Amino acid sequence: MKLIIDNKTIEVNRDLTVLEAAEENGIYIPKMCAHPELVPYGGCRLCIVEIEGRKGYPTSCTTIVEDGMIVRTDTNTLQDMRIDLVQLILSEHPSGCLLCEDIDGCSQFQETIRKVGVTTGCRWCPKDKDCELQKVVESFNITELSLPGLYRDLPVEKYDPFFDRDYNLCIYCGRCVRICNEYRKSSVLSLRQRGKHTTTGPSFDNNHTDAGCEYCGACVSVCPTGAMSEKSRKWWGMPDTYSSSVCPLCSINCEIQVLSLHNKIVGTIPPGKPHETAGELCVKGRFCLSEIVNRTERILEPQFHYPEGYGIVSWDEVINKGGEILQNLKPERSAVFISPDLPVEDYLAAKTFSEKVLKTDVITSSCFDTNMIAYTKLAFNSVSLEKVRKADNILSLFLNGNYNFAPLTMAVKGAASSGIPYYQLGWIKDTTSRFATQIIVPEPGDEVRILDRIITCIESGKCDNEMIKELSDRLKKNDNPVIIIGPWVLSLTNCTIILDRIRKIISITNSKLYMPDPHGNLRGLLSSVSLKPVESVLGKINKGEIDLIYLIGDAPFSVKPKKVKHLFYQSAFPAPEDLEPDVILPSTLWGEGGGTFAGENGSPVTVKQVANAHDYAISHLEILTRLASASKVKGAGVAIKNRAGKVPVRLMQQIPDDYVTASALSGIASPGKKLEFIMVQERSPHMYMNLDLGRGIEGLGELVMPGHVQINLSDAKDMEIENGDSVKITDNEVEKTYPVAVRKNIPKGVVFLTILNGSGDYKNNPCYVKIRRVNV
Amino acid sequence: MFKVIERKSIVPNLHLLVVHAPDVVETIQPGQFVIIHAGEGSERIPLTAADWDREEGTLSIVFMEVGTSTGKLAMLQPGDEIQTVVGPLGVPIEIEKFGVVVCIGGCFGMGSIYPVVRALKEKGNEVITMLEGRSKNLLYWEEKLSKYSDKVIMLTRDGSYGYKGHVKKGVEILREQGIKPDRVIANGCTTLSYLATRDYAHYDIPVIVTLNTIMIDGTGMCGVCRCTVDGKMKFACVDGPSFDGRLVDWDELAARRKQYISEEAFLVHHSGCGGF
Repeated sequence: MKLIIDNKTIEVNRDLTVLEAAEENGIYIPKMCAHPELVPYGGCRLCIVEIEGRKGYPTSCTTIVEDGMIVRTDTNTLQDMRIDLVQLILSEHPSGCLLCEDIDGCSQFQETIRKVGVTTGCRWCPKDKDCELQKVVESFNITELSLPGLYRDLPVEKYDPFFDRDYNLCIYCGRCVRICNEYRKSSVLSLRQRGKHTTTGPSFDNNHTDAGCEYCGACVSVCPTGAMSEKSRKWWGMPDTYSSSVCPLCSINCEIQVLSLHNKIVGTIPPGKPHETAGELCVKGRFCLSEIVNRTERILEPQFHYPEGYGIVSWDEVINKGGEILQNLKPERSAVFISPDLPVEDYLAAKTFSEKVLKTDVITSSCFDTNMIAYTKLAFNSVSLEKVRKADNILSLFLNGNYNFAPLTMAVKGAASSGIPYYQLGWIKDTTSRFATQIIVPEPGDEVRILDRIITCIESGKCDNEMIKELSDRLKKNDNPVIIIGPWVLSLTNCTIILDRIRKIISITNSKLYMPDPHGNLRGLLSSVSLKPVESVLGKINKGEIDLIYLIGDAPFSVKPKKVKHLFYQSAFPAPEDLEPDVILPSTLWGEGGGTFAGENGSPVTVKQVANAHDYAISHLEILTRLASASKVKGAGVAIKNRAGKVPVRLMQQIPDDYVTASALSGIASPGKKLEFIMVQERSPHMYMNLDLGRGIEGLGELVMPGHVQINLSDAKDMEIENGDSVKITDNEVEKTYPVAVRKNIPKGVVFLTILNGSGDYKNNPCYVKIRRVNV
Repeated sequence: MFKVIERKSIVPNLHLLVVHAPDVVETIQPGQFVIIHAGEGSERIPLTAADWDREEGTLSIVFMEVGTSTGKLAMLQPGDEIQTVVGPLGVPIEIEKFGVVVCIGGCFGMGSIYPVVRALKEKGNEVITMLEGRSKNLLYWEEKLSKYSDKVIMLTRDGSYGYKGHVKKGVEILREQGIKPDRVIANGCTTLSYLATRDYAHYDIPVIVTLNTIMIDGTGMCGVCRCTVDGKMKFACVDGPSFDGRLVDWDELAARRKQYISEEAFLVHHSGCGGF
């Protein structure tokens, strides 16, 4: 159809709004509340236009184009009305700077005192020069305020991690509320109070965490003013470079946009125009990446362990000394541990290094235990996220998606909100739980029995439980049912048995699998290196069959094993205090070097270097090449460089069939005597190299509370336990004391604990426990 | 230890701090400053005295919340104690009978100009006080200052109170009213000091500004507050903080103030100080 906007004939072949049609054709209409990812709202009214034959001044964002429409966007009446509207906004928005003739001189001197507690003008605002209101005001050339100013004087909210809110700067466009509800489907934010007391935020004056906020940052991204600002990037000013990259923090490998200033990473946002895309990132991709790279606790220089203690040495010296150790190695008496978060080039280098220099094929990763092997093998059948979006029934098992896997949880929420039945089995209420048709909180041991009942029901049609019958029928008869298994299953005692049952369900139904993995590039690692199960490697070490251990971004133990002679530690993050490696080699991190990641279907994804390396750090590939040359093995250095330069066009994962032994599949753990609480533990899914982000990133720590037992609010009330109190927890065999974090997303009768690695302190996970408050 | 008598936010970002420091106020003069140490591990912050009461032994300071340590100060409650209040430091501002003196205060300077205005008036000068803020809600102490001023002129950048404009507008008002100043004293941020120097240059009279350089010990030992005045190296702590703005090397001053900006911004986020 055809329409005329400002005397320009425009052809449109879709149901666009007048605003969209104008923008597509380069016609500027001012706007504040309209946003490409949101349903038109008509709140700010700046986008009013005149349409021939229509009464009044319709908002162009809410008007759909019609054939033959004649639209004017720029008449004097419209401009006058818009200026009045902007004046209304400015009367409540600290705007002195916008009207100040000395604004340029100010920029020269004010830089150091910008970082004020409360923003009272543009030059002191974290969003200065990145503010949509500024641009609108500039477009109108406003030099006078026609209305008296009203400063709301609300306290600035700084108590939540990752972003601050200053509602004195809010213009009520409602974008944050709408993006949270419409787009992310999190329903954390709403407009509170009425009239001039209105603010946005969680209802009932809850803090964001208790209101179920995932800290996805969508609200911060779309906020047109400085009302919402990122804590870590608040005072850096505008970035000078925007580069596209890929997040290395889980297997979904979201596309991200890295913001840098003077070759230093200052933040990460979703791809697309800043402000215009809310994206599908989780808290880690949105807020933690820049904090990881800019951590102060990095290894700064190479170190060598002399008899009298550690000495900081030059790279040349450490390579020579390391090379000397490597010259006298016996074949097959070395072991390599490598992180599943590195680029493929580093893996190929490590493989060649092991073969040529260490003369060993013992390469493993501390995550690669029996459970992980079973999980990864089953995950070979994992489908793409698109299938989850189009599923006609979803069952999620052990999915703890609060601060994780946002594209997956968004797919689930999207499907479920359109009416698709969604069953959730697990012990924590995550962001998807509000959409669940049924939430199953299994008793210890029941996590296998429920699956067995589903299998029986599918095979024989017999079932005495209505819900299981319904679910089984859907898995069997629907066309596109999807089963999601979260990596939480890796921490459960019955992990391999559960995965075996799922395999069975897949084989007898139409169900598809989706299994996210918390490691950034385990796929790439498994396609480049034939990993040994970590248990077998640890067994060799304990038996004294290993002389040298080489750690590449991995720290499987906190103390150097007794019978090991040499320990090389190569990472960006400091070694555990008692590890005492012989050689400490500082490596670069994601973003400080380029590389290849293995995409969902095995296709290589290239990650660019976007920042300068930290101090003296160099890449894993470079370190290994230099050490190989120093080890005097002929041609080893060149071989490593050559091998790493040849990344295959398809990165296919491989795990030998005999890795999951029959013994792993026998015997469901006995749940033991029933006690008043169910204790469930989860291995931290927030690892990056050997850094647990829950412990390393302050803000994430406040959310996931590592080392704290999380307990339901009403359970805590009954037992008179408050945040920070200590409790003794026993399964009648082991008794341990933990600090408490009271959380609303823990079901009644369940206590939840994040552990760093291993299987935790109790014999079984989950298990029944008793809780006692420790009197102080 | 120094006891906090009062700490309140007077306008957004600016706080009034009243502290019991009898030894300091015994000899303090207008234009002098103290160094405050919010707590162990804090920076040392130089702050100009805004008022004092020798009988009670109390010292008042208006400070701006602008980083980690001032953030800590902004959380003080009456009855709390401050580890260190060192002073009086710096050279007192020159107070003579000059004739007509224009005193310009902006931001925290609306507080620190008060003792200067009072002393000038007591010496028999005709004092014209100009207070400058971006908006009406950022102005304070108008009444307190008017007691010692022959005229108080209020300036806001958005025109929400008094005249609309900045320092330059003040010059226009003086011209319209036929007032010829004999001396200008400006207290406030570096921009305000610079603009006062620039906009009053044509009168060819001293424009006394209070420089806020980065400062550590305040006694001339460390040299961090180095600035160039009249081509000579000066230390703001012992040679100032008041200088004739016409002689100040402003570009050098601006550059030196930005020296630690990335460390400062990093700390605001990572000090774990109430979300700062």
